[in-house]
Amino acid sequence: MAVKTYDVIVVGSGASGGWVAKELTEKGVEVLMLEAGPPRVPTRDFTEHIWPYQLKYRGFGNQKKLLTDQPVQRLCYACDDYSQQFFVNDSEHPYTFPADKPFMWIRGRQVGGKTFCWARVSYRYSDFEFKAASRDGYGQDWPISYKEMEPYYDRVESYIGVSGSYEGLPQLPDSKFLPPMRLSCGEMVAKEIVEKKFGWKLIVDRSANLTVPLNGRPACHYCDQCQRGCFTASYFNSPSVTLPAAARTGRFHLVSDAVVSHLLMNHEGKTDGVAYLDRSTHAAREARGKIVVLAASALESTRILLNSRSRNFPNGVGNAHGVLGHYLMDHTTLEEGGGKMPALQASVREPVGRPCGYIIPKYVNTVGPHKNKNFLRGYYFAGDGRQELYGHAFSTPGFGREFREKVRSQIPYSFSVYAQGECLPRYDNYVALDPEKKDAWGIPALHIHASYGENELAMQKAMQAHLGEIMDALKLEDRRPPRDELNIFGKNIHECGTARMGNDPKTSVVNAFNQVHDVKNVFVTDGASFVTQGCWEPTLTIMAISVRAADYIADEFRKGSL
Amino acid sequence: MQTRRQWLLQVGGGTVLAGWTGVDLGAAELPPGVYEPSRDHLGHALAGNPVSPGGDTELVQIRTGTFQPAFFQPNQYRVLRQLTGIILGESADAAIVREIAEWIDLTVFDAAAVRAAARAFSPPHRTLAIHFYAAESVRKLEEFDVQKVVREGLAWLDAQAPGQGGFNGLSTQQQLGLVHRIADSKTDDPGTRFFAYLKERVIDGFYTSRAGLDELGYRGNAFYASPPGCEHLYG
Repeated sequence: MAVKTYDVIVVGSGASGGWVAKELTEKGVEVLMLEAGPPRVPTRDFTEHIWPYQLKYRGFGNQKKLLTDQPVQRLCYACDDYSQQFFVNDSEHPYTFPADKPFMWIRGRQVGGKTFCWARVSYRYSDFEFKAASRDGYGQDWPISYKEMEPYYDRVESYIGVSGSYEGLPQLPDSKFLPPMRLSCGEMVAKEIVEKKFGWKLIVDRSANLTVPLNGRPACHYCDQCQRGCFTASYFNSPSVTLPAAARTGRFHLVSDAVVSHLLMNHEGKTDGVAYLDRSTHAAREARGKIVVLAASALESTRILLNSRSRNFPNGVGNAHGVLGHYLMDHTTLEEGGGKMPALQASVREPVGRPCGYIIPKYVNTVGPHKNKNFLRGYYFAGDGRQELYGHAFSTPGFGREFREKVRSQIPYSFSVYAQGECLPRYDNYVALDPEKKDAWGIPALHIHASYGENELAMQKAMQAHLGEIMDALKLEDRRPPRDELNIFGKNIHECGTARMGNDPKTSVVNAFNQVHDVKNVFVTDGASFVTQGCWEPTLTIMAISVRAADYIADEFRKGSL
Repeated sequence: MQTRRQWLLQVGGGTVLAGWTGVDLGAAELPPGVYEPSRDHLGHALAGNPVSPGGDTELVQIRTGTFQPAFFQPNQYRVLRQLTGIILGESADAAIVREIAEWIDLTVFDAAAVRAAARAFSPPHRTLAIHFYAAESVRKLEEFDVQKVVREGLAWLDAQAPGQGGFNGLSTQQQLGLVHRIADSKTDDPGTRFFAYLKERVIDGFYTSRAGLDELGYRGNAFYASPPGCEHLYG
C-alpha cells in the first residue's frame, strides 16, 4: 500500500505547532500534526469551577500518587489536585543531570501541550533582546530585528488576544492590546510608592486572556482557574484557538499518541518524514512528509534532532558543528519576597479572580539611571497584592467560634514581589543524549547539564538588594525575605536555546527562518531556536517566530524550493 | 440536577455569556482534543456533575451506609470528632464535623504511604526536592510520622482522663478543659503535638468546605463581567 506523503509534518501541538499548522493550512498546505500525548476531553479532563470539597483530597492532591508518579512535575505550582492530568508521568519521561546541577523539566504532553497550563504572560521582545550582543558585546545577536518581528507580533496578538496597557516603554514594546485588567488595592498603593521612589512603572500584567470577546471566543469570566482548562476558551490555548482554525481548512490531520523518535533521512541528505511509536502499544510507525517542522518544545525538538543519527549525520541532524544542544537558557528568579500591608487589613472580602499579577518592567541596564556594571542585562519584578484566603488561620491562636470569628473578620493583606532575570546563553549549558537511560518508548533520554554562571550570581545580589529596597519602601510587615538562592534551573519552564538561530552555520543550528542549516526541509520553530531571552516570558515570541517561519515555509513550498 | 437555565441564572453566567451565541463550525469536524468554546461544557461542570468518567480527577465518592474509618479505631474516631467539633465550635454530630473528620481519617491513613513515597525518592528526585523546598522541609516529609503523632496523642489524651472510657468518658466541660491545656501550648508533649497537627488539618478541612468558604465570604471561583480590581482607593 502506498504511504501518503504529506506536504508538511508538524511535530508538537502547542503554542508553536498550533500556529505553524494554522498558517500553513490556511495557505493551502496539507499538514499532518503528530502529538506525543493524548487528546484532552473538556468534559472529562477540565476541572474548571470544581470546588475543593468536591475532590477526594480537597485540593491538596493525592500525595502518594504525586510523589510516586510525578516527583518532578508536582514541583510546578500548576501540577496539583485539579491539573495534574496536564503534566507527564515522570517514570515514563526520565532525564538525567549531574548531582550538583539540578534541573527541573516540566512537561505537558497532550493535544495542546503546555498551553493548557501556561501562565499566559505575554511580552514582546525588543532590540534589547534581539540585538543584545551589539549593545554589550556578549554572545550573538538574533539574525532578526524588532522591526522585522513587529508585524508577526501584531498578527499573533490580534488573533489570540492579549490584554494590557499602552505604556510606550522601549524595553517592553506595547502589544496590540485588548483592554487591560485592573490593579488590586495593594498594587495601587505600591504603584504610587514605586513610581515616586524608583521612577519605575508598576502596571497590571500583560496576559493572553480576553477582556472582551474576540473571534468567536467569549471574554474571560475571571474564575482564575486557567490552568485547569477553559470551557469558554477565554485564554489562549492551542486546542481552542489555533487548532480549530487549522481544522476548519480541511487540510489538517492530527494524530495524537504519536511519540516521535527521529527524523527519517534519505540519500540526498534531506528528510522524508519521521519515525514514531504509538504511545499505548509502542508499535513503531512512520509518517512521510516533504517538510518536517519540529515544534515539540525546546528540549524535545533538540532531543529528536540529536537522536536522528545516521551515517551522514553521525551526531544528529543540525549538529555538523557541535552547536546542537548548547546555549540552554532559563530565567533566574529570586522568589518568595513579600509581607503584609497592615493599612489594608479588612473585615470584608473583595472580589477575586484576576488571572494575572502586576509587573515592574526591567529598567536596570536598559533605560533610565539604573545601570549596574557588575553584570550584563537585567531583571524585572512581579507579584501580586491580595487578601489572604485562610493562611492567617494557622497563626491565629485559640479554637471554637471565637477563633473562627477572628479568621473571618481580620483579613490580612499580602503583597508579594519577586525578581526574574536574564540567563546568559553559555556553551557550557547544554543537553545531550544520555548514553544509557531511555524513556518508556526506548528513546534515549536527555542528559541536562545546566547551571548559573557568574553573571547570574552577580545579578542575584542586585535583585536581592532591590527587593529589599522595594519592601522597605512599601513598609511591608511580617516580612518574608526573598530566598537566598536562585530558583532551580528549569523551574520557570522558560527553557530556550539548544538549537539557536543565526546566520553562521558554524555557530548556530537554524537560520533566520528557523530552517536547519544542514537540512533545508527541517525546521525548528519553538523556543529551541532562541538566541537570547531577556528576562521576558518567551511564549509570545515563540508564536511570532512560528508564524514568520510558516510564512517562509509556505512561500518556499509554493516555489518548490524545499 | 439543575437545568442549564438554573445554573446560568444562579451563577450569573447568564449575564456574562448572554451576548455570545457560539461559533459556526461549518462543515469541519474537529479532531479529538480540539475544541470550541461551549456553554454545554460549562453547564456540565456547574451541574454538580463536575467531570465525566475516565479521567484522572479523583472526586469525593458519594457514600451509602455508615462511614468506616480507615485509620482510626471506632473509639478513637469518636475522639477525633469530639476534638474537631471543639476546634470548630460545633457539635461532634454536625454534618460539617463529619465531613472534615472523614477527610482527616483519609489523610492520616495515607500519611504512611506518603512518607514511604518520599523516602523512596531516587537521589536526583531528592536533590530536586531539597533545592525546591529547602532541606528542612524535605527532612520533615521523610521523618514526620503523622500516624505516630496521632496514636501517641490519642493515648496521651486517654491517660489524662481518670476514669473508664478515656477521653470519651469525660464530660464536655472536662474535654474542653483538656483542650485548653494543649491548645497553643509551648510545652512539647504528645498532647500538644497532636493538637497542633489536628488544628492545622481542621483549618484546611473547614476552609475548603462550602460552609467554611461561605463563612470567609470568599468571592472567587465566580463569574465576573469585568476584571476584579481595586474599587475604592483610586476610583
